[in-house]
Amino acid sequence: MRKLFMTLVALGLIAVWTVNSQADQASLGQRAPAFTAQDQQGKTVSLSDFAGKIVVLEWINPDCPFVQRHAHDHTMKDLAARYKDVIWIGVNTTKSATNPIDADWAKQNGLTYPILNDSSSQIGQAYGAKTTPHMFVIDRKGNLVYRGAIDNDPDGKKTSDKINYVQRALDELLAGKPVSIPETKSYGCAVKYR
Amino acid sequence: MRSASLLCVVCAALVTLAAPAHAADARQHVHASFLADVKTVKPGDVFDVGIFLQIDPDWHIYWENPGDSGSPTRATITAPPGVAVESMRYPLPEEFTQPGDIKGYGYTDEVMLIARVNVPPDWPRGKPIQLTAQVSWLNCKDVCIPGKAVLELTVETGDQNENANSSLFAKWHPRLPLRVKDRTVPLTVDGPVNDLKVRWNAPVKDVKVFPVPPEGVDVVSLDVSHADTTTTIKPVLRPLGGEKKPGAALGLLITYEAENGQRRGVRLSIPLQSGG
Repeated sequence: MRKLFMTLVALGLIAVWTVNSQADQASLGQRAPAFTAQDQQGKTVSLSDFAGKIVVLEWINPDCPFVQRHAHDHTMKDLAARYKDVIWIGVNTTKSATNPIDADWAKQNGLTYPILNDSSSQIGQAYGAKTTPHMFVIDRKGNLVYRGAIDNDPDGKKTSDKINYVQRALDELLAGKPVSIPETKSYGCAVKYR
Repeated sequence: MRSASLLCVVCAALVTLAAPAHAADARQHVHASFLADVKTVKPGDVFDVGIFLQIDPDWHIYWENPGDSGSPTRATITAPPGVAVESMRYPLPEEFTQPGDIKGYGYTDEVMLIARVNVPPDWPRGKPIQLTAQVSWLNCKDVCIPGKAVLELTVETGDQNENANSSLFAKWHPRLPLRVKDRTVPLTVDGPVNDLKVRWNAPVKDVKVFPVPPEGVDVVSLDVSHADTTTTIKPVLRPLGGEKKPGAALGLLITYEAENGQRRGVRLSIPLQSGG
């Protein structure tokens, strides 16, 4: 073990911290997949409706305790309200999702943004959504510029060093800067695909 | 034997099954208990404690790295001053893939997390050792339900060790991964963290590697290649912003099929600091 440690030290592991992602990021930085679906009121919503706007997609499932905690803490609601020029859209890919379930969820939590019924899985599959919540940010050009967790606090217990990755990405985009952390590992319940 | 005259009681009591943060308490699908492998321990000796989790059919809970979704099962043990509890060890996880190609690592049916407890030589004989475990988990099926429990255990002390729960600990011990400090570890590791060479003492089959990233680091990918007695592991890591924690280490669980056909594992901890 000591040998390993010395080897690691000798090779300068600082490099580890600067390694760029080599994972499949094909859709990051590229055009976000188009979609059309009904929101909780039965209104048809398409990504193309918001051309030229920054769009945030939030995967939800009202049965998921991670989603429930963020609803209780107003994490998404407050962020959506804070950035008035940003379009915030919830997506429910749960196989049992219905418009009334989404409407109830929005009403219970005072959410005014659309929640799309994606029980067919099409949007979830197109974006590769794995968890609830799972967050995606699309820039004004329609390119996907962030995907991952809402923050670095899966347990909701951090009292310091907390980072809201979506807030950071939006602040950077609105300041005309590139998103400095374009991808993180999302956390939450597995999306309950059909 | 003095210990035979002692009132030897091991209390594996489920004290509370605390309410989850949200609704659905009545739908809890995990039963937790806290056990020791001794009724009585001699001061200066060690014993093991286990968090035994029994899971309803079709439900699962998660390993220390839950995979693409979920939340780790966690257990923290509080002991009296002088009594040292080593880190909790997780048995080898199962790997499951959920619809949407969502990979998870965890447990079904039952699992026992195990930790070693060191009793100081100067602990007064006859004075019981009281331990408290705080346990939390996420149990999932079509929905996920968080659960937690606070469990208490009392172990008596005396002139000789007296075993307890032997069959349960004998069942779960072989499922714990070996650590480098264990003399029986069948490998050595060398190389930089992004190109680790694992050299096995003898050929092994079906090698799999499970990462446990430290806080603030993502494992973007983990390329594993194996031939005969050498496994090459190439983790690609990504910092997630925030302060870098001193002492951060990448955990790796390497599992393999042993000669007797049993699945075994080795848990490594690869330091990530540059040393300056």
